[in-house]
Amino acid sequence: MTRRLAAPAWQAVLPVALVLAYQLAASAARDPFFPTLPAIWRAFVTSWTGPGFGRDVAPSLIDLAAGYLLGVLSGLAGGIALGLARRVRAALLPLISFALTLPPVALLPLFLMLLGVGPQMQIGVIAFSVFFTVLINTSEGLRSADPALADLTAVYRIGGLRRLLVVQLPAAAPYILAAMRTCLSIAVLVMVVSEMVGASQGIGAQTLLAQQSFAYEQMWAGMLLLAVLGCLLNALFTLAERAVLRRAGLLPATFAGA
Amino acid sequence: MTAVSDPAHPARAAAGAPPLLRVEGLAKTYRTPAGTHDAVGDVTFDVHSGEIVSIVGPSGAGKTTVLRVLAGLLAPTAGRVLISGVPVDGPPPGVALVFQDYSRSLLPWLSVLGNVTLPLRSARVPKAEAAERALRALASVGLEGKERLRPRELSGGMQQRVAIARALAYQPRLLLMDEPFASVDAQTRMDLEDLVLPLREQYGMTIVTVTHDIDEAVYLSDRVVVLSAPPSAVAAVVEVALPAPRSQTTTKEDPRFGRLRHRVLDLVRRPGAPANTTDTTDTTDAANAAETGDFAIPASPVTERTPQR
Repeated sequence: MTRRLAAPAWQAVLPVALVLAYQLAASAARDPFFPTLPAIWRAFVTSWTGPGFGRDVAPSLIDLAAGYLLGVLSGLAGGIALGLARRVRAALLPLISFALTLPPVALLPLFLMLLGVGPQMQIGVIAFSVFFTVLINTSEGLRSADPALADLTAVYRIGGLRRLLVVQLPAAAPYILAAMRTCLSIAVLVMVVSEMVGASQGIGAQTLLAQQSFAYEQMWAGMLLLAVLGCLLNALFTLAERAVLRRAGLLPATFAGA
Repeated sequence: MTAVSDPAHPARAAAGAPPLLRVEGLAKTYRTPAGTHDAVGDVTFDVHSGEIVSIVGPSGAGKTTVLRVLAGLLAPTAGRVLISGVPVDGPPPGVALVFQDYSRSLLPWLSVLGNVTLPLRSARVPKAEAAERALRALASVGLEGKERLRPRELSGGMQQRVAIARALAYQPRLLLMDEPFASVDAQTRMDLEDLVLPLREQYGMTIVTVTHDIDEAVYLSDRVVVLSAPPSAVAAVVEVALPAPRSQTTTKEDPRFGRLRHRVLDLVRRPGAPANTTDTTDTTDAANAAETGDFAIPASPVTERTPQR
């Protein structure tokens, strides 16, 4: 019991120590590249709250949400089609495997050319980066379902949309949710890089601009915001994922010893 | 073939009508990377409306294979299955199957009620009627008040009752059961056995069950189909003329029960040998059986394919 409760405390030791060490080193060194924590915090507040929020943070988050949702929904639709049509899947699998190995940021020049500079480019490349992972995992989740479920739906003649929505998709939910969680970090990464390459506004663009204009406190504030954003989104998603799986009876209702 | 006939049997007495289920020369060969495996050689038997028939046989005799063919989940290599005279070439309507592994056949994300009504909703039974039929079926298996729970909140025996209730609510012409009580404890198994017998009267169903439990086969059935070792054929059909209603105590103490049990056990352990009532505590039997492949592992289920509809 005590060991269980102490675990988070132990886990916090190293990060806190590192932050403290950084602060001590930065205040001793007085190096403009490594500003102190209070300085970074001041830059954080001025850059990302007030007008900065509307100008840079909000567009980034909107592009992220739009691109992510577009990618997830199209990936789901494609994955369902592939998971149910064996021949189509066999025909398209090599192409999909190729697309999966392609780093999405490598396609930024193409997306810039096709979509131009603007939110549509960010949304497009984020959706692209999410699409294939959700696609392949959805189809894999549908195909790797317990054969007992196929027997069940066959014997009781459960077909069509009911079979898909009530039997097959819930069975594939762990695969689909895991893919969506992975894709969330990929989407944040692609958002930042795409803004650095092809935008004048947004968190990524501002962070790179700060570095190029020697505003190192702002640069650090940008990295801090992105780190916090990534952690927060991941934590929220993990909570939501657990809630969904628990509701679906795919996780134990309560954790023993809690 | 030592078919033991019983002219006094009610289903036979009403003969003249075609059998509800006719299995003709059924054979199944599995192809595996290691070669072919003749699981079922030549199985022929009839089941009449209202009968309970058990299929028993040595391990690996293809009992489950036969049942899967009856359910239309597996295409036979040769022979055919007729239900009410119609050849089976896919899961036929009005046939329910209680799977051996209840934990895999119940959907954990649906409530007990949701699981039982799912096949009904799929058959376009209106929502209110489906719920009413489900609740009635749940009540008849002793699960009143559990309909809002999830399957995993129930014990194993209760989960198998849900699976049985799902089959009952479906009101099938033919109920197939694949070792339905194999994964529950002995006490629960007796309870479930005693659940099935009155259900037959109540729902007027025809039941074919596969089991490896000889006592259970004799106790439940009107007839026991004994399969030989693979490639299996029907070694014997044993008529069970035990009086109804049956009970775990009086029926199993009946000397006739003992004799039938003895005969079926002899047939299972030494298929093809004439049924006798001599001492069978012969350990070499089991050893021989093991050598001749009676306990061979059935072909990999990887080669089985659910027919695509």
